[in-house]
Amino acid sequence: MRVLGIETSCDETAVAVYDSQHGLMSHQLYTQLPVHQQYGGVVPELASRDHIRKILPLTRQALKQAHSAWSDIDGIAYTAGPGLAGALLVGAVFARALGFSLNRPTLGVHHLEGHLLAPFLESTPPVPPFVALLVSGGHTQLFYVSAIGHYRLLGESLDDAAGEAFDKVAKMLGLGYPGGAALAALAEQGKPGFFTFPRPLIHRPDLNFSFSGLKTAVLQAWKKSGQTDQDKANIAYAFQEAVIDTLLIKTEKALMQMHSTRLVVAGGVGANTLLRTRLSACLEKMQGQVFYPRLEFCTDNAAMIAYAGWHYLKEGKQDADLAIRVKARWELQNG
Amino acid sequence: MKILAFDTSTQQCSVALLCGNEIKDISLDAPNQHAELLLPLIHRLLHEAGLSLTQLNAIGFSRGPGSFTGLRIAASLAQGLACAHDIPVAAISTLQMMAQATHLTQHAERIAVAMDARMQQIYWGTFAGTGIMLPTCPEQVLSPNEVILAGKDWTAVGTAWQVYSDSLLFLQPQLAHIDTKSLPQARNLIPLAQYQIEQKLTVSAENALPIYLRDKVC
Repeated sequence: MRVLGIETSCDETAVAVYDSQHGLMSHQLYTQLPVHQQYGGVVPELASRDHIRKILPLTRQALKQAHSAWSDIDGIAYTAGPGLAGALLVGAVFARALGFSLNRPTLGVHHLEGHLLAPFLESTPPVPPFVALLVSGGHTQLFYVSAIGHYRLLGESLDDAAGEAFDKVAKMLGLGYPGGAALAALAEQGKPGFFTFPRPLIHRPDLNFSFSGLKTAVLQAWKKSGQTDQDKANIAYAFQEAVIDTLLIKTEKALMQMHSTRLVVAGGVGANTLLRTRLSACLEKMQGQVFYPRLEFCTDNAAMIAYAGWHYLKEGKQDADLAIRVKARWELQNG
Repeated sequence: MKILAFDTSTQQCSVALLCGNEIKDISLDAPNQHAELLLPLIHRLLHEAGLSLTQLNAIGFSRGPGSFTGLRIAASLAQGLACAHDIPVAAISTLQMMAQATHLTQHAERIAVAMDARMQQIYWGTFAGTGIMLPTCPEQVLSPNEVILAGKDWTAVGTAWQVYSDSLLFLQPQLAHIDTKSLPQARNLIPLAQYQIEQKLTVSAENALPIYLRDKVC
């Protein structure tokens, strides 16, 4: 079965082809970053306007890269939520109309399920049950995955997502938008011992996170500092340490609670080198295994949507009727 | 000739199908339900006519101006329906559709369309002709008091003539008739789509794109 995947939930337009026999055959991505950069955040109306210009050219490229004709597509998966309603609609309507015209089944996929399943595109995929840490600009969540399709939320951020905290602190330190990756790079120039920031909620037994207080602490430290380049790097270092320590402590706690030694890491912050190093060391110590998506599939992409959709479409699951629906808000939790 | 047409530029969801010389259409007042309604309505019309998409000569959609989200729903639907079978697409102005409707029902030959664009602005276009209403000036978004209209005996169409009646009062001597109630209807898209087919003005699916007129959005 060959599935076309379509992702338009935020500021990336992406299309991919996944096949039962050949695996991932193509993936195309257009990032709108330069459009939104000048506004210091994603402008929903501009995002939607860009999606509709790019969706069909990218689909044609993805088919070409997969050496596939329209008629070779057996099913179509698209992100139905959560995300920006207007942006989601472009991908959903296009996907549903295409499915209607080709007389092929379609399926709306949960964007976060896509992220959680992204490591399944790698050569050594994880085997459920496992604990999953989903950490991005929009989410910081710990799940227990007993099987594909069965997700139990163990804990989540009560305020800012970890990636959001990275971007906000980067903005405060004048590293532009989105500056999370720049902040992580700057942290490598930083030295330990000059600043210490709190590890929020680590002494609580639950698995929730809170990162909004951290950015206030960083702002105060920055104001009181000499504001030299080295101060900036030292603050970046201490901030990254605090976030990653917190993620590590809670993840370890989740693994112990669930008696699991398998961890899946997904989402944009999952590309952070220090996070990967620390989590890998932690799981090694537990004689467990940790699974990451390749770096390019940490952030939004359609390969994960094609894969997640394929998983259900091959079992005969599909959109129930011809009504097109998207869900800007949509919890991922079903046991 | 077989043409499928749809309009979601206002709170109305409207679909029409030309099959031979007969137009079948459905229009529903359905704010925020366009995406849910469109495919079931299209399926119904095609099914009742015993037609499949591949038999269509063209797909017509209203490309704007109008509700931004509505315009994108229609455009992405047109792209998705047309791309795999290379069906030609007729991207039709919402303002022209309204002018065409008034031309057909009231035999007016000079029509000034003004739709409420919110933010104290209107979408404005003037049309003239016999048979097919063609634009006499580029469509634009502007303040009611910036409107320039030459000549007399214009028929005024669109919601803005009521919403901004005070600001547009200065044009009164140039108007023969005012219709503030009419909304775009998919059936009025059909003669304009036929015209585009005849004039070879249809586009490929890639170019089934909205024209918002308002481009400053943040």
